[in-house]
Amino acid sequence: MSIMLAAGEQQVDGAGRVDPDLRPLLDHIATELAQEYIRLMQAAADAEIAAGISAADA
Amino acid sequence: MAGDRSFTLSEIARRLDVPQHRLIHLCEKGVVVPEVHGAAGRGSSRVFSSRNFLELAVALRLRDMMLPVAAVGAVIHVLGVFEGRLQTDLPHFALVDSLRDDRAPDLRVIISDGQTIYFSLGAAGEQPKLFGGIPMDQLEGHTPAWNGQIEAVRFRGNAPNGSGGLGPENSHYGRLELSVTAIAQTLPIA
Repeated sequence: MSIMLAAGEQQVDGAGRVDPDLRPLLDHIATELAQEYIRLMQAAADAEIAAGISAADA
Repeated sequence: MAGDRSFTLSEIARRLDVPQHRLIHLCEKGVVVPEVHGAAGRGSSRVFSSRNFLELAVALRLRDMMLPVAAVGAVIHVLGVFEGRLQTDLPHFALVDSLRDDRAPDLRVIISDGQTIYFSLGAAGEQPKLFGGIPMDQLEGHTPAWNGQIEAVRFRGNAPNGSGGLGPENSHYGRLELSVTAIAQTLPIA
């Protein structure tokens, strides 16, 4: 079967698009990554504050 | 801040020093979807966000490592959802700006034994945590899709001293590793 494209229309074959069946898995990974990222950023901010307090005390 | 900027395809091609057709290929395969403006017809041009810029840079590196388009698409999808989840908690969060910060966690993509995709995330000098894995044969439609079992995405402990395999994911034979943070930090976006 051939597909005719109108002039100027873009052809997107979608080979790189995610299969809808796999989206829950990928979204779950992204959610866990986000939670860990927030934890790491918070830890870095806390460490910076602690370092600032130590420097002020010295 | 880079987070609220937009770029044309030709500008990104020039900044990354790659032929435009490589970027067009990634768009036409659906790997990267222009966040600002898609190409809707003749004379219409794609306009990309800063995150798109990072996505294109990551996708190019993964393609250079011979990763199939479907697998690259999955990695880029995770990055997009990852930023979206963070914006839920931090409305002004921009992935590119955050990863370019000196204290940014190291976010990496790991291809284990050419079969499974993992992500790792950790602070500098600390053992990273592992997320995944994503079976590559499922991405290419060779086997049934994920059955919803959480086992596929559990945290895995890091192998002590690398014993029992390669890297924290315990690859048996070989692994590829790409630092998204390093790509972001060297992205010619300023």
